[in-house]
Amino acid sequence: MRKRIMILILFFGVASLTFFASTDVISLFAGQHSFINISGEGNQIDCVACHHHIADELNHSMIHADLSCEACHRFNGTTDITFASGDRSHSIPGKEAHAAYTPRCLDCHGGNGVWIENKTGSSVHAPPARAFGEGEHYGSNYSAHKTLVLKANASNTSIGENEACLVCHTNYSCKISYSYFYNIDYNISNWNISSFSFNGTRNYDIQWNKSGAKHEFLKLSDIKCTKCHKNIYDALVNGTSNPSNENYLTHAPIEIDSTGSSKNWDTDNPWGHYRYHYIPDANRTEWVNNSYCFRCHNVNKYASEHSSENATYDLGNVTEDTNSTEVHCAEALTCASCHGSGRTKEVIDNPDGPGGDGGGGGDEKKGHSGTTPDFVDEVASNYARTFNGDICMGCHEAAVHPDGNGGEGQCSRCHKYGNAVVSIESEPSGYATNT
Amino acid sequence: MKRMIMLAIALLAISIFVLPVTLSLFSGQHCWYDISLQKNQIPCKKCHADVYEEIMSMEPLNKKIAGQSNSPHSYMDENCELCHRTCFNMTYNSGTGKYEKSPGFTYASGKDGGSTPGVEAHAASTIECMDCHGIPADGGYWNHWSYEEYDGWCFLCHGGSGYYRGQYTTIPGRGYNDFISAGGFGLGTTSTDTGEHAAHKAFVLDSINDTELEGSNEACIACHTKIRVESNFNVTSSLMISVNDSYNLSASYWNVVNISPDGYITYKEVKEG
Repeated sequence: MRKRIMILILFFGVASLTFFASTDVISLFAGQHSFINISGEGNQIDCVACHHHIADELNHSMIHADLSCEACHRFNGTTDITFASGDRSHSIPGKEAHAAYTPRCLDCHGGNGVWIENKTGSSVHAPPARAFGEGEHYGSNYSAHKTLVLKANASNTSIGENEACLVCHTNYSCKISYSYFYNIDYNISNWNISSFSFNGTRNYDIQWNKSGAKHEFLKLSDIKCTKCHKNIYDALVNGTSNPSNENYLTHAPIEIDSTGSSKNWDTDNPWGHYRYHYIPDANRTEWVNNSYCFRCHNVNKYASEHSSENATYDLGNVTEDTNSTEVHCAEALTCASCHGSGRTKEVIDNPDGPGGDGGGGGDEKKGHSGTTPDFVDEVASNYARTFNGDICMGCHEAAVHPDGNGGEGQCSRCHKYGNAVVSIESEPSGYATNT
Repeated sequence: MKRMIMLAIALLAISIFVLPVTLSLFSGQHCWYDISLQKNQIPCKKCHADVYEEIMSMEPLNKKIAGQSNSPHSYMDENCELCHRTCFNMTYNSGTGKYEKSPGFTYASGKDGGSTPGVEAHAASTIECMDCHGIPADGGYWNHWSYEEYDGWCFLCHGGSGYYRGQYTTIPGRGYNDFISAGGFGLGTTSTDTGEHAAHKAFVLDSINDTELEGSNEACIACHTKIRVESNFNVTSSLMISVNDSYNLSASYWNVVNISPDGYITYKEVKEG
């Protein structure tokens, strides 16, 4: 009984205290009347409070990690955007944006680039996106990826042309669905092409899986050409796949000459140095990389990064033959860009070819050098750029050419008379026949 | 036992002597506030002490009295009516996408012995931030300078001098034109408010359409106050690019026919209050 009375007294005591202490109204959304003072210089609204995820991405980024949110998202160096501001006692109403805007990458990387202040107060230069940052036409038409930039600008997934920038320069993932011809057939008679046809459709899908983080910017060396152009990578690394993996490669042409006693296409040649395009079997996975792509698709860049090869291959003059100084990262070119008539690497006679009757009646070393009109120029002029490489590869794919020293008596068919019946598949299979 | 009985009788007698009045619940309920004077005489903070504390926490009192606070809301600690009995009223027009001036509310008032019954609100209204921050200019629409709740308080918003908590205080001037307009969302707060590049515009428009709080308040207070915010993001992480090689015998180009989002990642962000 006494215990019950004690419990009853305790209950009334607690109830009284609760009643006494709960006379205040309970507010929903506590904190909504605690306004952040924005009168100081700069931005006092903590972007990261709501955007930890992006801040974390940026902290792991190889580029831009030293920049504040405001450096990009309240940038008005070239955009003439008035952002809202409460600096000092007077406030400035925003015009084009309030707290932040979604920038175009080219706002900083267009023109000659801009200088911006990083987190430590240092002035850092945002380099220009060469070619693509040049006005509304995105520079020269030689830039291989210009159509991507144009389409990105027309699409509404991101601001401006950002999709194109993000897909290469960040960990934003991508899938690409390519559609192109399956193979070409043509005949050559006395270095004149006839009966040219393109056939079928090849659909090739790639998937470059990255973390998906748009604010994780990649250093340039981490942008892998072969991730998006895996069909070419597969062709170069795996070799032709039909009928079996053979030791010859499409997209890696060889100069046609005698392979000598070693029957190797790599070092056994009259010039005594590694062939510029050919990749020996043992080096495929290692050598098929950005640097290899730049050998042709950005000669200027390759030459500047490889001084010894610059001298070996006379790349200074080759650069002038190309338009590589006018492109963003890669040039859309044909073989004729470097090997056409009058070019630094125009087709020359095989210096160690059989001068006499090598089974074909002489002049086997000549090939199509000095043809009038120039055979290479004719290919470039008369056939679409997309076919040019494969027309050349129909003969210059290494294994298409017999590797015997002397050509087992077949030299004159091509080298003297310029006759061939060719069928070659596009990448990645690249299988070719030349009869 | 006898002593206990005697003690009880004594206590009872004293109690009867000292407690002649009837015991009332809710003491004070018959002590009415005089609301016949100008402005509001009901002490809001009696019930909203938490809100009062939030506003008081913004700036030290001595700083405010010294006129050194540049945070306008910090001076409204005892002037709830400046916001919650405001004459300003801006209404979002979904057709034009702009905030437009609307007649203010009629609040209940007992001024001058008579009474004005409230119409849209009695003591206070839940306001939109844009009621004040969406105004291009009064332009004689509300004549807020003569509005009785604002009389004498000009300096609290515009800066200048006046009596704050009984002390003559000078607050740095903030101007009169567009001085608190929340421009940059294209909502018509100023004549130059295009908002064409605003990163958070969708957030503001979705807040306007959301009924949890008034107007765009969800967006405003999420950033401008210390309220706790939990956001669930669903953002693109991958693109699908379709590329066709367009060709005939003599010409070709790579035609990028489509770019579209392909993958998404979701994550939660928590801004602690």
